[in-house]
Amino acid sequence: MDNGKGMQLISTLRGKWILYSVLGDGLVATGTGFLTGVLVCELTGWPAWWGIAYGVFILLVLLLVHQPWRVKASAIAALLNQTYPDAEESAELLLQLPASLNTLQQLQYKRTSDVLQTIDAPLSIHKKIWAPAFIMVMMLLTAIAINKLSVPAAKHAPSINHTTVIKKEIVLPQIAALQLFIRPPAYTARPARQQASFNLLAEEGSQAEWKIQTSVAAGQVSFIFNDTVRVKLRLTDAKHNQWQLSKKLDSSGFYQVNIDGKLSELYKIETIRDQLPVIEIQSPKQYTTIEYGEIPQVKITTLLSDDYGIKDAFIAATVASGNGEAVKFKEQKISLQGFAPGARQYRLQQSLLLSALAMQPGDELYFYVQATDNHLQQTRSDIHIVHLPDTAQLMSVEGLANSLTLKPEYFRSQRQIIIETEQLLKDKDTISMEAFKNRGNNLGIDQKLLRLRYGKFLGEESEPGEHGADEVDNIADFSNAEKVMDAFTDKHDIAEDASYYDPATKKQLRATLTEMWRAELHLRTFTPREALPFEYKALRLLKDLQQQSRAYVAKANFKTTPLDLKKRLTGELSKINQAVRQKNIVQQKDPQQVVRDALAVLDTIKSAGNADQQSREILQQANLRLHEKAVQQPSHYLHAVEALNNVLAKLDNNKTLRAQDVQAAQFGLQQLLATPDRMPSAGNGNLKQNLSKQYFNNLQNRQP
Amino acid sequence: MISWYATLTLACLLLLFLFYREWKRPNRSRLYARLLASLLAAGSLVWMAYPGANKHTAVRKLVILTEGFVRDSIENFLQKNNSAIPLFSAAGKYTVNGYTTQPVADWHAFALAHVADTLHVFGNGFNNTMLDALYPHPIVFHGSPASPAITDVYWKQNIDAGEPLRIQGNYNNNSSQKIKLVLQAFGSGKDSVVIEPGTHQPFSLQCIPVHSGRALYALRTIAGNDTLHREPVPVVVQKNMPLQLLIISSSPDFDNTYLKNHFSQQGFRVFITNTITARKTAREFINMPAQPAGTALTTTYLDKFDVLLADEEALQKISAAELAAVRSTVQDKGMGLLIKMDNQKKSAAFYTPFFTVKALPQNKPTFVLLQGNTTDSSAYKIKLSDPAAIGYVSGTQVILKDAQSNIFASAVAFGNGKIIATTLQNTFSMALAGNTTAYQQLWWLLLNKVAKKQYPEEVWRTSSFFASVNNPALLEAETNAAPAQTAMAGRTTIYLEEGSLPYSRTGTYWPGEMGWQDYPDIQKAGGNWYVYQASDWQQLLWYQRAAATRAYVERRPLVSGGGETTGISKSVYLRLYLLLVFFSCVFFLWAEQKLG
Repeated sequence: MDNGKGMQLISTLRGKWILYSVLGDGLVATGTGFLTGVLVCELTGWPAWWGIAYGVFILLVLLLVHQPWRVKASAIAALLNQTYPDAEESAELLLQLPASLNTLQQLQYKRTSDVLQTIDAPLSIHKKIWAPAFIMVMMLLTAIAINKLSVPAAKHAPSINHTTVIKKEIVLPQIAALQLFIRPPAYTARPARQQASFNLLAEEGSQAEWKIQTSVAAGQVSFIFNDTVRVKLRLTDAKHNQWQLSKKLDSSGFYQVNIDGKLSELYKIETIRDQLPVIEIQSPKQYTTIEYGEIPQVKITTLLSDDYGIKDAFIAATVASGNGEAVKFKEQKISLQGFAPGARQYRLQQSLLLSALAMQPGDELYFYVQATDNHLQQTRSDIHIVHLPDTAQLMSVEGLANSLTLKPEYFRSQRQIIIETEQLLKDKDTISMEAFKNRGNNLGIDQKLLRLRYGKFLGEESEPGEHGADEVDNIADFSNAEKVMDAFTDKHDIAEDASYYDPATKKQLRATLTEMWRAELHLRTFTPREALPFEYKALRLLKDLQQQSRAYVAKANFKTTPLDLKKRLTGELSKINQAVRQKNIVQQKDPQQVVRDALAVLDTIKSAGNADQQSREILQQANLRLHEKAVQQPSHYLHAVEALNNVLAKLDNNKTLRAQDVQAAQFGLQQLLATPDRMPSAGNGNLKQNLSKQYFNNLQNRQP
Repeated sequence: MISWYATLTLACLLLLFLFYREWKRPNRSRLYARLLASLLAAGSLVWMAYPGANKHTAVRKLVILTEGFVRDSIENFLQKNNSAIPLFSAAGKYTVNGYTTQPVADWHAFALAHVADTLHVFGNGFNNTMLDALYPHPIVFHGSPASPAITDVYWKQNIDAGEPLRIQGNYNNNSSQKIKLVLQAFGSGKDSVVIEPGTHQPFSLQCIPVHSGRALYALRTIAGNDTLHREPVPVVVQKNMPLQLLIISSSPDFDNTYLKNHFSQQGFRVFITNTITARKTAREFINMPAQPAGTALTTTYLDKFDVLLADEEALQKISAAELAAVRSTVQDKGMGLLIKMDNQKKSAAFYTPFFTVKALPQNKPTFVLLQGNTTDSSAYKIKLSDPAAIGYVSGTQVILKDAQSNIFASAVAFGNGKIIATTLQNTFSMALAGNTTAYQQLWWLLLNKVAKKQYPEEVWRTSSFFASVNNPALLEAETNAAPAQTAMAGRTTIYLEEGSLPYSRTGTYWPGEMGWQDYPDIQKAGGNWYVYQASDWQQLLWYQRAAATRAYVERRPLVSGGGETTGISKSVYLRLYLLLVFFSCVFFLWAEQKLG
């Protein structure tokens, strides 16, 4: 009797069921994880590992939902019954002990068991894996498609910088390890850092400390700075393996490691200079005038920035009062509101109340902003001027009484408008609202008339759209061509209308008219207080105009009559010798000439492969020039110095030159050179011209 | 076709019959003449029919492969026609469809040997030398499709220091993408231009070389990220020789003093003479030996100088003999005369008809932007206090003018020399304003134009712009030296022939190596020229060959005849002559019989 075989079969199938279920969930989780990884990477730029975490999470969720381990043997038996009619709905019998069965059941047990032995695992268990596998494949394909689509954008970005190829550092084989500590100076407030490469980029004034471990015991280790200064490293252990050197980095340059005569390549030292603080005053403008009637305050908006931080900043203000010899200056230091030392960038706003600075009309305020950074470097901004005009002078008629100009009545009118506006403002509380509005409006009309009168000086005839209509409307004038033309043409050819002002005067007049426009606007909208500043400005501009026309003195050209040498210096000069001087100027050799020659020499040896003594000397001299430059800008020229050194070394040893070295040396050398000036020279004539020259000479000779 | 033997038999029978008739004729006068005529008639008939005589007249097709041919097009052609067409090549050996080409060296001999054959040329065609050799044999040209290429190019190989190197040419971009041309010097790009797709447009690239001596620049053709071609651009930058300057001034003048100091620093030899008071002058000799006081200006002394710079008043004051010496030195010896003029009325002199000076109104802006009229891009901002302009006179050349075309410097050729007049009196203000480059450039413009020309004893040039290895280069020499038969180029002797003009010689040289070559010397002239590799500027040369071949085809089209076209051949003429002989003999026999 095959006791338990059926049971075993069902448990095997159960195991398979669980396995496939878990596998299916695993596939779905893998696909989801992959897709999520790609999406996260593309959209946010985070690392793709997030996908794995998400995949694990999904797997756990699916397992918890499906709980495949909880599937019961009876469920498997039911599945067998469903799938195989041969089991005759008796698979459940296999789950029971044969001994507990009756004869009929035992017979059926044996029969079912035999049948099930002959068949494979139900197909549906295999099928369980198909759907998840399909889902996974789809997700993988989607992820690959997304990845492919976004590849061009991702790959193009770095190709822009492909020129800045970072050269790999070549270290001497004797060096087993390097520790380079850089301690930036205190003003940078940066922590000390450590690196394992020789090329250095450090803040100016940093302390660098090299700790070198050699692989073999070395007799002597030294650094050669800028190819001139040799500094020995200090031995720190008995085995001659540990070497140390500390140095303050004050300037850029380059250095080389020398271990027992073996020289390394050149390493660069680049120092970052502390920049001066930058101050930008966004408001007010460099020259500001505060009109009478405006609020006497200045809003200062300033931007401060520095590379390591600003320690102190303030406004230095100077008030100049009085004029002529009685001018007085009062200086004061105003701290910037909201300034806290230490930050790199500030945007500060501050209002300066001019009354607080005891400024009177006619005074001027000069101010600048000064900032000090952590390295105690100072910068100050440009000086800005705020002017508070004295309206009392504007109102005086003193200047007008003596003037010969044709415009005094207009000026008086503008002044009159101001006086009346001020009077209106004073009377505002005592008169009715209607009367106030009426008077304001009347003032507006006066202002308009004044503006139109000034407009005439600019050739403006009347208010646009004002003329024409009613003149033509008269029925008696129907088909009167002259009237019609009068209405629609501008008569610029009338001499009295033409204006004779120069463009500058016209420009100022136009500016005056604009101010009058604004004043009129406010007067007519019953806000005379707002109109007042514009009225004052218009008056000031007119006054300026008047002053200008009075101060103008046309420049007269001055030309002396030519000297008649016969009359002049006719004294006895025979005992005075004729002056003859002779001198030779030693021509200064163009310091760049040797570099120019070296370029051609390198070009020749590129094809020839060797060079004569003279060419080598030229190259050596050019190398010195390159050296000088490399000390100042190692990042630009160090590569060229190295390449030219290689070229010279290979020429000396008669070895084959590397084309890259020659090219790199040429590239560096040509960066040293400025474009040469063209020097006048006698050009070469063509010999064909020589023939025509002979022809011409013969013609000349034949002339009588 | 009647067989050759049948023809021969018939001709023999005809001959026997004619002989028999003549022999049997009772009138035996002129018997031998008649017999000879019969023989000639039969003979000429036989010769006309002889296939050997027609052997060369048969029209055949020959295929000639030139550089850049497309294999597919030849295989197609061979398939369409008889594939046993003989193949020839202009250079190298190729195998197409199992047939190997025969290289042809002498195209003239080839054309004579294949006088009746039709030549089908594949590839980029022939160069002008080959075409000249083939002339007048007509050809059929199956050109290869043209690729994007520079079709013409030129630059000045020998330039002065500070002179811009300008590469100009045309580019045929028949591709569908933009093509960028970059001029490179020592690994860095100096200038570039983009050629739009589907255009054939001119281009111009320029840079001022910073090196001194010989160097190889490069012209790179870039499509997208790929470099299509990198062609060498050889450039020689020469150092300039300083000038010898004579300055005569009627009064001490800061402009002249500044000029003297500026250029004497650069090695110029300057002699400046200033009138300080009546009968007293101050003379200064810089970088040259002093002359005793009171020495008059003579033609011999003036001939030492390249340029005489003088203000008009100074020229009025010197003696008539001295002025005549100045005139004669300018006219005969070619010295340059640079005159500073103003609008003061002066008496007439030999130079006055060319330059009429008028004052400009004072209300002009103080700063004037002058433009060089002979150079393209230079502009000089200068402050003028008393502006005066020169009126245009026919025959003069404008050198400097402002935006309103007021002329401030003008030149005229006077005999062998040149005279330039300028109204600029305060050029030093440019230098003092810090613009020394503009000052130098302005004086370069004036002095370079006016300076006396040097006539070297010997000038060499190569006639082929792109002389390449193993190709003949024509070297031309212009020399005043006695006729030389040979010259040495390295270790090779070049045989020189008399050119078309008495002072010119030409010689052919086959360079064996690429790179810089020294010119051969007759009188140690020196100088370099560059020999290119065969692959350099190949696209350009191919384009030009194809164009030359097409032009040749237009000039010598095939004469159409039946299905196949053929040229007029020698054998046609031969048969015409034979026919003529035959008819003459037959006419003689007939006429002799009638008369008899």
